[in-house]
Amino acid sequence: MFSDREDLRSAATFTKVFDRAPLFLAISSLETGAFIAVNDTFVNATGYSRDEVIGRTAGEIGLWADPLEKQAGLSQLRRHGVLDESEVHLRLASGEVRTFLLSAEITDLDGEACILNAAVDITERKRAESDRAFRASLLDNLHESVIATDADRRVTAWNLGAERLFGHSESEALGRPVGELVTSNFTDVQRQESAASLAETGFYRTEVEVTDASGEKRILDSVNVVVPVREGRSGYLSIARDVTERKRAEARLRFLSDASEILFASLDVEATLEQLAQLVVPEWADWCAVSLLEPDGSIRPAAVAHKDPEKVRWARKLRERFPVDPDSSLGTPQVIRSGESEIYTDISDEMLMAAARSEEELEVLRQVTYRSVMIVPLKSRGRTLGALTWVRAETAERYDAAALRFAEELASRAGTALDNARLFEEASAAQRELAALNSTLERRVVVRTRQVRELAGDLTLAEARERARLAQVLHDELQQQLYVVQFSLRDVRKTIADNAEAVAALEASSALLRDALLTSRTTTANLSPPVLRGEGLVEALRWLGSDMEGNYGLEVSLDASEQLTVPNEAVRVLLFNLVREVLFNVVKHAAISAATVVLTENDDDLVIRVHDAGKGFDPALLDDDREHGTGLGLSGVHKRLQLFGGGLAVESEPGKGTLVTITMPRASLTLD
Amino acid sequence: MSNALRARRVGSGGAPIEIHTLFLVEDHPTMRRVLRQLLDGETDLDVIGEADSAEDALEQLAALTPDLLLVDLSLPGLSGMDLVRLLKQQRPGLRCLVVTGHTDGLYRAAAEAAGATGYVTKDDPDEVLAAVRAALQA
Repeated sequence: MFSDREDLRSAATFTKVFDRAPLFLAISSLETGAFIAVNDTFVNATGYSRDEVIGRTAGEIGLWADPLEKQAGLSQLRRHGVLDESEVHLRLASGEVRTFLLSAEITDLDGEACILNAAVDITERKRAESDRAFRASLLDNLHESVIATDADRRVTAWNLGAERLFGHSESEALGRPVGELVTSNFTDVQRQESAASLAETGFYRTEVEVTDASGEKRILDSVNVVVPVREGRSGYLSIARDVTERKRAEARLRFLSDASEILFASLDVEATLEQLAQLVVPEWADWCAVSLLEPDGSIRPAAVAHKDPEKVRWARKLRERFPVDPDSSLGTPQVIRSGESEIYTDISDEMLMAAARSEEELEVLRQVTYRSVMIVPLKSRGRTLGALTWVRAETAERYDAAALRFAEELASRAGTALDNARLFEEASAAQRELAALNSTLERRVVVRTRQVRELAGDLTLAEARERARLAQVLHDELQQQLYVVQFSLRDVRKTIADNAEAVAALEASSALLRDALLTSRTTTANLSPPVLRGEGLVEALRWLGSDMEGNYGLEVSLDASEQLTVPNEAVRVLLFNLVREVLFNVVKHAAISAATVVLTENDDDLVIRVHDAGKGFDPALLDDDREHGTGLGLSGVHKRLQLFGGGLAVESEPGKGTLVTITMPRASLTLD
Repeated sequence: MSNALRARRVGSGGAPIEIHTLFLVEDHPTMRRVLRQLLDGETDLDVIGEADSAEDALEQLAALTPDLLLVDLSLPGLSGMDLVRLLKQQRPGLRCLVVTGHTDGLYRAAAEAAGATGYVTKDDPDEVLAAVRAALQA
């Protein structure tokens, strides 16, 4: 096999290398396929001894686990003279099939064409690769974002979930600090808390808001654990589940509940609408507008809200500049007409161009930077009252079906609240109208009552003045003339002193004259009681008492406080006349020569009680005459008494005397 | 008529009679006339002046000092009661007899309170004369 020394030396070296090579090496005849030589590594790797293989073929010892691989390898060898790193499966002496990476080359050995085979067992490596692929596939099939980092927070694993969420591919992410790839609202405090928890327990769970690839905010339920990496160093594994929808659903439910409470708390329509719009921004919309259908069919912008008051003013001005076209086949007018919601998840410039009525309006629409819009009807009791418009402009969120359901639910509650507020306002307006009518009526009654009282007062005073005038005439003229006659008769008597008959006739005339004077004087006093000109009713009644006693023999005892005054002359005269009429009745009907007059005051009224212990009567007999007064001939004064708010009551019984009670409101005593 | 002239009057017996001077305040002209006739008919009484109002009386009385003033209560302007009250203050010595149509006790009491010397109604001329004499004696 070796031709010279050099060859021998080479042969020895070869043998050493051959035997000690970490690869398994085998030389077989190209012609027969029988093994000529195998090294130690072959023996160790396959479990076959040299004796079992030398002189036999691989086929004979059943080394090839897959005959097709054998055929493929041989044909390539024959064609190209070499076989490079072909993955083959060999059955070991133990029967185990393992994977090897086989390289072979046809070479000449001592003139015989041989095959030099070199192989390495890659079974473990293949398994590890397969495991890795499986794990990678497992991670990628998780919906969660899984990110592994080393101790320096550089990304060592980044699954498809993370790629979907944050928009970076695995290859982009690996090796970069995780902070560069994920934008979150994680605060420094949370970061410290997280570090402390991870150091102490190796575990930290939190909810964190991140910004996703599209710029939208997402809420993640993030579980972080410490994982050993290698050489005693640790890394971190973060598994985050997107709970945005669940959180939103919860927040929507909470919001609906809170919103209902707020909306139903107010019964003021405008305030309700304003609150509705304010509630929605900025959490659920950047803009929120409420439009109402007016009774005349027009659409009124009732409220608009944005977190920036300056923008609200701007929007109001624009509403004036570009009023809603009630006939538009899109948007608010259509929603109000149909009662069906509209949603525009993504607003394109083409849509704005289609909606704008002029270049100027288009420019304004573009300035709003519409991204996503929903318009939902405000309904109650089957009627559409208006529409609620939600606009996403500055923020990246897009409205979806869930958002629309939410908006419709809110609008439904708002519609009912609005309806309630309207009904309440209508009821209030009706009540106010009624109250105004009542108040007008009351005012009129007050005015009329005052006028009637004034008239009654004027009438009483006019009557009193007329009586006074008559009394004056009686006193100043008639009585004076009677005195003059009396004085003249005295002179006549002197001249006829001798004629006894004439003197007698003259005396008779003089006596008649005295009677006439008495009548005249009594009439004068009755017509106009001399003391009624002051404010004191008591003084006047005392005079009345002595007059009644002097002229009619009725002894009147008066019980009253001297302080009692009646500044209103008409009322004073009225009360005086009333008491006098009652006392005249006593004189005429009671058959008794005494009466008492008692004046008292309570919180509301002046009360005058005129009592006699005379023969009394049956008040039922007065009933026929009731409507004309008390049946006691007091009709006129009684009616006037009522005009001043006063009253008169008669209590009597045959044989038990009579009590007449006159009341007069204290307020009437001082009327102007 | 002066006091000196009146003092010369003599009675039927030739003896000098004390003459009392009177002043009438009465707004009713006929009444004033018959009253004056009544009083002048008495030899010891001399009406030295008359007035139809309290104001007129006050003016005339500035120059007269009658023994007795006869005052009606119902007068135009100041009442007879006012006049009595004023004179009582200005001329405490001057006596006033109220001669009136009012029989009312209240008037009588008020007149006395104002300072009247007497109070008589016009019903009976003889009662008036008696009241004049009583007032002059008072």
